[in-house]
Amino acid sequence: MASTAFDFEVITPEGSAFRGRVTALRLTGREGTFGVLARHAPMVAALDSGVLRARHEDGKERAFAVGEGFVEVRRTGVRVLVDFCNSKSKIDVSRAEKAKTRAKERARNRDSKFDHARAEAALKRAMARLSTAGLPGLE
Amino acid sequence: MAQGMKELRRRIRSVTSIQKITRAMEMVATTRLRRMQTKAEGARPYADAIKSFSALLAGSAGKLESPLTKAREKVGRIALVVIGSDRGLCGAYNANVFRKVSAFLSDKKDLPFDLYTVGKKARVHYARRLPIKEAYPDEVEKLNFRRAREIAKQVTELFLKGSAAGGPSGGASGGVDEVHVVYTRFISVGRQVTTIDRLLPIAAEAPAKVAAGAAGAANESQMLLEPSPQELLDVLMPKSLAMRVFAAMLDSMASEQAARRMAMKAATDAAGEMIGTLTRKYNRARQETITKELLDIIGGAEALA
Repeated sequence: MASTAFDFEVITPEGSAFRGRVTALRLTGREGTFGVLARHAPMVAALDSGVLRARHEDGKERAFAVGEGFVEVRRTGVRVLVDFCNSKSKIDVSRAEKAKTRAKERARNRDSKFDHARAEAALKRAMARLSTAGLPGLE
Repeated sequence: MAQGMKELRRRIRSVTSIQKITRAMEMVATTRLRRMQTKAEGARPYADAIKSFSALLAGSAGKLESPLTKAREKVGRIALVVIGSDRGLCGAYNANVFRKVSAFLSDKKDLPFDLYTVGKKARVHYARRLPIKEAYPDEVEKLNFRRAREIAKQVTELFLKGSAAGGPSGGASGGVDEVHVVYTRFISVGRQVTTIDRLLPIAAEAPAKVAAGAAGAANESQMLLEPSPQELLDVLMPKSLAMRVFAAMLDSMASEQAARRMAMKAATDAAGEMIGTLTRKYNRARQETITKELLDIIGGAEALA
């Protein structure tokens, strides 16, 4: 099936992280992962930190680790607004590993509710990076 | 006289080397300023998108409430985040910030406050003057969104606790009712304004903006919102707050470099002027010795004749 491409951009507070034409997206929403294809209904959704996969026009797929944020689907294209966005090749695996163990440690001894929530968020970020880095066969 | 000339030569040399340093610093500040401006521009699309989201939510889903926008009836305690620089030699940049803080605090009279500092100069300045609740690590220059998000999270937590206005603990809760940030707004290379902004409670969306959002929402009414608008707002508010902290940090950084550039340019110019004056003095002294020597020789020759 010939797939139609649409404009896609990832925006972080530190600048535009990716911009290009894609045919399919796979995003981590608050309520689970979902896909976006061309001519998706206009939508605004909250995203959790996790893996973002994008299929390019030539069929290649790329993976990014992204932070919390939003996705905005319009007829003209898709915009993703996230705290951070690391392409797979730029992920520092050992640092993410360390962050993961640290976050787990903190999550375990529950001193206050807030710290727990924070540790959980940190853990999610580390997991996003690790699972992105672990995806086989992607750029 | 020869002694005076030696002294003058020495001073000219030292002023010249100072001028070299200030000129180098001026150039470094210029490059840094450019880098900061690029960074600030990079942040703009995100900030704009956050704003348009807020407008969209405000326009699409009727009345939404967030605890972060609710103003307290009685303000019992405030938090102040002061953004200064790590390094000096930037003119009145830090002094302006501190003056703003003093003016603001004397304005608020006896209101207890918590002070948070960003930047070494701010930390050192207040270390002996006012109790600092927490000094964020130095190295303003390494700022990133993460740091801004941490600060935003912390002040949000304080704000949500409240200063016991409603609680029985009578001020012991450690929370605050308002959060302000003092930073230096970057207007242009030649103009920076020390500004104090209220971070929390978040000011209600300006009516004009809401109207624009509502107009935009007319054709967006089919927009799917997931999860609910309320939940989206709950995610959006902290993001927009973190972004405002980040923007304040970026503005301050750019302003610092601009201030340093101006200060160093003034210093370089002053040094140039000083070299001129000293050189004139030196030349006059030199001419005086020559004239004196000539007179001596002529006098000697005349005495012989």
